[in-house]
Amino acid sequence: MRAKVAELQAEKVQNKHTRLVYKRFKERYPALSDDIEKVVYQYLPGAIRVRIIDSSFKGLSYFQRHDLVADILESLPDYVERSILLLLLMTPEEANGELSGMELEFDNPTGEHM
Amino acid sequence: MIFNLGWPTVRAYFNAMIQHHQAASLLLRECPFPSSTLLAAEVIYVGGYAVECGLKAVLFSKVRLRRHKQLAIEVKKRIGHDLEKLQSRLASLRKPFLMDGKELRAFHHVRGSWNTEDRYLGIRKPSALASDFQLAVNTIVESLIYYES
Repeated sequence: MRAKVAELQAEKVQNKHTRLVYKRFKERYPALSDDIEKVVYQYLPGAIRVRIIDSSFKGLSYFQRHDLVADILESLPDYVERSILLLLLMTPEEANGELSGMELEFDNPTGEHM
Repeated sequence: MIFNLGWPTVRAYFNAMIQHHQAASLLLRECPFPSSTLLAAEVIYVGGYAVECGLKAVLFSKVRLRRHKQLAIEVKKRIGHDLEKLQSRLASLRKPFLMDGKELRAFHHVRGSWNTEDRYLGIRKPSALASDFQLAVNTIVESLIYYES
């Protein structure tokens, strides 16, 4: 069981839940990467990570950005919505800027950049 | 209240949550707006620990006392400062602890902004970001204190 968890930590797991999350966000933000792993993956059982990069977030606080995607989150099944534990909402400038720990961690889910 | 304060580990984490929360609030008062400062980065750094300690206090409250020694080892080795692993562990309990609504929104903010490695980077952060972050921390800490189990 522990070995399984360790494997999951290093992998970006895709399943029907992550694919549903990707589909809903892609409908709203068509410019999102076609590579699903750059947008959403399962980090741990019951822990999904999402990273949305869009210029509409510019000049907004995190809560204001969150409000823009609240309806997408609410449209998801409860279990899936509650499983999203990391939701990065970034402008292209932020995404292309100096790498923060979270950016590194999203691309390399090792749990080391905490 | 969700916390079993009769248990030493729960009490220790609960007290640490209060202490970090108060320290972050005091630091925020000194942050000059709208500048970006190391002090604002410190507000975020300290405030994140309030959430971590609060959730760890919840975890130890929901596990029997005789299993606390084993749980402490698991927390140290497998969870560390990873809030996602911590919340994932809380969700896996027989009586899971799950967040939703405004608490989950606040958790997203904290998780996406808090990184214990930031303390080595010396990056200045805007006071507005620190203020926003502290709002998220307030939401989580208050929801834990007033949680009806």
